Amino acid sequence: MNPYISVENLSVKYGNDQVLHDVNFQTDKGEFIAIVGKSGSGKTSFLNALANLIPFSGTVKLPGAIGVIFQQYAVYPWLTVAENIEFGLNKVPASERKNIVEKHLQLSHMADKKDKYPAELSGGQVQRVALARCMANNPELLLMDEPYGALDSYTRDKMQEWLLEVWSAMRKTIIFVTHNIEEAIFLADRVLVLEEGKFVQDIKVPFARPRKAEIKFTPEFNELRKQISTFLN
Amino acid sequence: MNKPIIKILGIAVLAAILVGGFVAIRRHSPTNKATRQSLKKVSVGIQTSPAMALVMVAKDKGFFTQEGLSVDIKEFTAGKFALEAFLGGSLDFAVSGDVPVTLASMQGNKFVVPAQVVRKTTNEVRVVARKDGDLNNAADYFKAKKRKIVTSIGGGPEFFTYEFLNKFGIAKDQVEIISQTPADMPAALASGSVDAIAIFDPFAFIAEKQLGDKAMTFRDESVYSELYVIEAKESVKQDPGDLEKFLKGLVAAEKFTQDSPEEAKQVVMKYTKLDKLTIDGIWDSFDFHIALTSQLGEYLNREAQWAKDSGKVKEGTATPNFKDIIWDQPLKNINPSAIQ
Amino acid sequence: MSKKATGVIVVVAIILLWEAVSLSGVVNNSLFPAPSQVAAAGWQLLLSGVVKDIAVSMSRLLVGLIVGTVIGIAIGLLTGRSKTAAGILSPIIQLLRPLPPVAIIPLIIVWFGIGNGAKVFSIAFAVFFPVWINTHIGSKMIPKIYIWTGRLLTKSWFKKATKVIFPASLPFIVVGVRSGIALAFIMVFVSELAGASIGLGYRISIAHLAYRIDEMIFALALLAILGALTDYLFSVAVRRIFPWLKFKTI
Repeated sequence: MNPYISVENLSVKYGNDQVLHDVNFQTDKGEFIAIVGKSGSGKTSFLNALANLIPFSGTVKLPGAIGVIFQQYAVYPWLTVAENIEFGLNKVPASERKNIVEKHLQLSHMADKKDKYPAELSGGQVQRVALARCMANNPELLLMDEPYGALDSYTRDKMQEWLLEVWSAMRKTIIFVTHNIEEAIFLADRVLVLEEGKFVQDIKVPFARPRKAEIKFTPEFNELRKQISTFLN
Repeated sequence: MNKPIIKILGIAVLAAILVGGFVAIRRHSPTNKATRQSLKKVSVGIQTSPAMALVMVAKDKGFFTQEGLSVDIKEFTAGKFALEAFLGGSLDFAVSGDVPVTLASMQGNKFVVPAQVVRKTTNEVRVVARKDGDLNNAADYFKAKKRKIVTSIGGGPEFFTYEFLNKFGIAKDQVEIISQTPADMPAALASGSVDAIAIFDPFAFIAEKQLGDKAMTFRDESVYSELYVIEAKESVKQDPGDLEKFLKGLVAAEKFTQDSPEEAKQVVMKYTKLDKLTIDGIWDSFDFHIALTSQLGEYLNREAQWAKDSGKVKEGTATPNFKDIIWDQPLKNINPSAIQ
Repeated sequence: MSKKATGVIVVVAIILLWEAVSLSGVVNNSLFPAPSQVAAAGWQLLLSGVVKDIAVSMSRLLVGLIVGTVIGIAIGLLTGRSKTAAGILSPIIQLLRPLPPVAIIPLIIVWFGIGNGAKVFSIAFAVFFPVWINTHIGSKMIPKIYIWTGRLLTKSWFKKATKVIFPASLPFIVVGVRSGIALAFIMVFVSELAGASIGLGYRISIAHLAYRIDEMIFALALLAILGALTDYLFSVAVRRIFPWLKFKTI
């Protein structure tokens, strides 16, 4: 099998602090991977290393362009919604640019707010713009670092549903970091548990797609949640 | 050493400095000095200039204390600032040129002029210019092109410039008149950023020295040569005691200066920090006598006309009767021959 | 009563009190002229062409302000984002910064003379430092994630500089420029006290030297009004050009 993404012996060190220890990891194209772990387990460092934002040792094989969504400071406050979405599109000819921006404005349900500034939007709307900007650049891989961590649970649920909508439409490969086990199980095909810089579990999520929010209350879901919880403790 | 000790030591040192400084200031305050010696204390503002020689000599050689006066000299960069401080009430006397007297009195300020500290000056104000080819007289020089001439605005040099340009038929728009402090003028001339300076000694002398044969001087005694006068409050007319003591001290300094000019020069060098060469070079421009001359009245009236013509005073301002300002009684009592 | 009305009434009361005290003879009227006398002097000044002096002073100020601001921003962004640049440039800038700009004017006259260039230079010199340090700090404090996002979305350093680093530093830059404006007014005034033949500072100086306190007060008031106006117009312009600043995010 030729993995779409492959990571071998990835190590990250901050000074004398070894945050990731010889981590190995593989995914197929179009997979939705969730990574859970306690704070300080190295989840963010894993994503940042994959995105080549921090120094690391080891081999990382990626398919092409990457998009990253962070939890905070996701979009530029000095650009409107439309300008933010357009930001990465300089290589694209001007006429096409307009169409791409329009398309993603529609997809993210932000068309009526395209001239607004991020300060005028709610937290959920800002994250939608962040995703739209990412998607407009058509990345092969999407890295998401606790993107809904700062949102209230109602908005969070809505964002999760919407993300699944977008994902099933575009079938990007997603690596989604969260400390919320429920979120991980609901969204992902596989949940990886990261503990002290190492992957200790790789659990396949058995639920069929499309998934509705109701499955969170099923006994199977709870069972899985308990299982993963135990690994974390 | 640990931190708390360092902190305590630091605070102690700081406190010692503050207390010491305070004590020193109090010790040296004129009031205390005077009280300790039971002398009458007065303050006089002067420009730090050789023209003030008699004031400096009187203070330095103790002629004021001889008269029972403790004189506190306050130095200013220009006589007109001394006059200003005097008008504001923070000095008992001031010594300035005659132009500030005209301007101040035309603005309605009230004071008296009991004496001059120089009987006359000779070419003390003159124009020092950068040589330009073989233009060797003022008319040709200033008419050749629009020159930049720097002068001390509001003082004798400005009046001199006005009269000087008038005399040689040079119109106001034929020159650019720039304002600067006297001390900066030699450098401005030397650097070439201006063509000429119209200023009094010692700065005229310094500029001439610095430029050497690159400079030429235009002088005209008939135009104007600054006089320096004492200003006192009108209240001295009712109570002239301190003024008389002040004048007596100055007259003693006058005698000393005539008898021992080299020693007098040393005193002036001490106050002005000018070198011997400069002092020697300008000494003869000044006639160091306490006097009141008719030249003063003539100058004041001419200056009043100039002030009106050049818009320095509001339209319709009347020329004061300068005879009311010049009060010769005390000097007459001390030395009648000083009145000319 | 509204706050504004109270404010106006207080100002009017003070002016009336001033008028009364000046004309009463309690103080030396020549040194403390009444508002009516100041206004009359002002009228004379306007008739005698003080508008030209204002124009000259303001043009010196604006050129100096722009030059100092542009250089301050450029170098501030450089030293804020590049450790190498900071290592080379920051020490010398920090050495010069504590110099009171007013104190170096005599030196500038000696080195550069008394022309407009020298005056503009002294204004630009003074404006540079608050603009530089605020830009430097602002660009240093840009959240890492903005930089990372920029890196992920574009390879053009020009785009990163103009579309990420500059706008992210802007709130700080604005603070720096406003300090610069205040300093510029001080500098234009002081630079015109010596070696000038035209300008508002020059007018204030010769009014003072002729004991025309009434003219002096009027010209000073003009200077103050121009300063307040410039600051106000700057704020308005900034909010027009960068409308997102009104949300004061970042």
